[in-house]
Amino acid sequence: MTSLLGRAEDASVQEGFLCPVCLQNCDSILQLQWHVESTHNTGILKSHVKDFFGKAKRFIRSGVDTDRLDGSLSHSQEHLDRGISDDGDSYIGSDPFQWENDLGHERSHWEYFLTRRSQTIDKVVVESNKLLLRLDKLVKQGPPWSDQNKRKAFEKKIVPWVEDSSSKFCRFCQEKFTLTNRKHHCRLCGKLLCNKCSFYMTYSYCECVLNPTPSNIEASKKEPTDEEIAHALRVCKDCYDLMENHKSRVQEETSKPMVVQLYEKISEVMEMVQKIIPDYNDVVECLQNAGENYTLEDANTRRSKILKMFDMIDSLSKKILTLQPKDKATNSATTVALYRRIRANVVRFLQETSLELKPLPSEEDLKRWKDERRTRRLEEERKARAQEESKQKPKSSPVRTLTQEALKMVPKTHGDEKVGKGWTPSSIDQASVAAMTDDPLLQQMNIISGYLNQALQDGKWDEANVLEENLKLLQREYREQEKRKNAAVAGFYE
Amino acid sequence: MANRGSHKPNGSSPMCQFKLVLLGESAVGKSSLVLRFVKGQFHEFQESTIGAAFLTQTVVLDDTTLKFEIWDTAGQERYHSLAPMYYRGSQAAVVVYDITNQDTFARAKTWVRELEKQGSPNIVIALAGNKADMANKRMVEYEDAQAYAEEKSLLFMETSAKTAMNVNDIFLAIAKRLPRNDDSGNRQRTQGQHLEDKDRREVKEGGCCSK
Repeated sequence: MTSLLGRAEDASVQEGFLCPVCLQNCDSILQLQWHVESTHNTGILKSHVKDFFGKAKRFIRSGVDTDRLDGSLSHSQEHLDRGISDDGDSYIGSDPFQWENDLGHERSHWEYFLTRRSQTIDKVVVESNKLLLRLDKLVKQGPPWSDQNKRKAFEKKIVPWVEDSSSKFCRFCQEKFTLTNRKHHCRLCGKLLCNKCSFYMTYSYCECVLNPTPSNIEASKKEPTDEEIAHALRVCKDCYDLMENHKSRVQEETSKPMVVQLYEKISEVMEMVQKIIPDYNDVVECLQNAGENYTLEDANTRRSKILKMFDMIDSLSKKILTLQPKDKATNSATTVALYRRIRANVVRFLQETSLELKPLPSEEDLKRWKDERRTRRLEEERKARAQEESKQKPKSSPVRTLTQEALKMVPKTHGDEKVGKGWTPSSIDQASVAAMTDDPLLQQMNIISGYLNQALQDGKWDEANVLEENLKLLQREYREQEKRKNAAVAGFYE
Repeated sequence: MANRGSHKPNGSSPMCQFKLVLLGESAVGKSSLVLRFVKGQFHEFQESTIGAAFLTQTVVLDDTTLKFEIWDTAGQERYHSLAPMYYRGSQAAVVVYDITNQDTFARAKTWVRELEKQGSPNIVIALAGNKADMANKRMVEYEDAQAYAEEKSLLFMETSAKTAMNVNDIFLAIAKRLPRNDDSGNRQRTQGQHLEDKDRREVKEGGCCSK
């Protein structure tokens, strides 16, 4: 044991899989094991190995001072002892792969990794930026080149070409350049390569690399024409890869996958549907209450709009289902599940919203609702009139002709406030009057003349007076309006 | 057409007539409010007004009989061109909004502004927050409306045509604010005179004579 220590100290430079007995260097742990088993399978070995492990034990005890490891340490010691003493002929216990490994010293390589990584990235980024700048200059001049020599001179000016004599071999295929295997220059890095190892970048491809707008991407996807191929830039594999990487990265950043585009469209239409449905329902409700604000036409246009949107959502989601996952190997199952889920969601949305949608009323419905409402109103009015009349009978004084309600409403503390019995022309059917014309002024004139007749019939002279004046005012306004219209038309023709 | 501070020829008490106009967004309950005041009725499904409806109602206040000529204008946009003809020369206006709809309150504010600019100079404006029976769906706070009314010195009440709450009260409050024959004959005459002037001016503007 001492000899081992001493030697190790003497030759501290030696390292590797050294045999503990003869210090022969073995290449691997298996070889070492084999070596020890075959050459030193004697009694001496046991003591040597024991010494070795004892030393190791002591070392571990002094080096590892945490209690945490004690349990496992004693366990492994036991294991080792058993392996050596009880089962002397086999070396199970000494096989490092069968030990329950204790936590040794560890070191984080994170920092190192980061610096190396940033170095690599810097290298790639700087290189590709340099190439991009060159490419930009090369492309700006652009095709067509009538004179190949001029083109060559231009390209040489932007990218310094290496001397033809600098290399005798293509650096990609290692073929020797000969009379037939000509030397060529990469137009981006200027290094030599052979024809076989050349890649070509068409101008549309370059545009796409430099400026990946959707239109450029589309253009680059087209089959290049012969002319384009003739004017394409010769580049080496390294430069091509760099450019391709850059292009795909930028494209990934800027363009959305098809699913996302389709899904965004679907959500947009869904939102629109959700906005328009309450509107449609309001219209239908208004029609049900025989309101005048909307016509059946309004409801119909809104409904057809909604149905069109439903169709759109449906077809878009079906389109998503037909999409093929780009990357078949990775995550295709989850992608397909995602597509399915989108479709299911859409179907649920369509079902729910179509439930929300009120049925479109027919013309008959409309007529029926209108009639119902009219009869209801007439009934109400008749009832109210009957009530009033029954209340009026016992009271004879004109000041006292108050409805029960009016009396209730007048605060009793102000004894002198009384609300009389009002008048309003009741039998005028505004809707039928309004139906005769579209002009609000004419409508109003019709209404007022109806009122006027009624007032005269009822002997309401004051009211008739007021209405007559209003009618005159309306007529005057109408004449003015006509005059203005005529003037405008005349002005238009002049 | 405007102010008729006239005595009823055969009545025992003095009688003055006032023109009152109702303004506000459509479906806030102008017609319902006025129908409740004039006829004491309420229709759940009141049809929307076309053009402007005309109603009259008399109110007895301290032995004076006031007669309201009420013009109930249509709230729908297409009839807005008619509104100026009715609020011009009105001594009183009721601007109605729906307490369950904030937009109608905003529209009421624009009506008040329009009245201040275009209406008669001494017009009495009342702000009515209708549908007070639907306070559980309230969107316009009472305090907000009251603060606005105070700032513009308008009469303000929350009303309900359905339950008749504050309906007569708001019209009576207007009646009290209106200048009357008996409380100052002088003032009444000047106001009448003033409005007559306005009438004539309108005629001139129209380029046509009607009286």
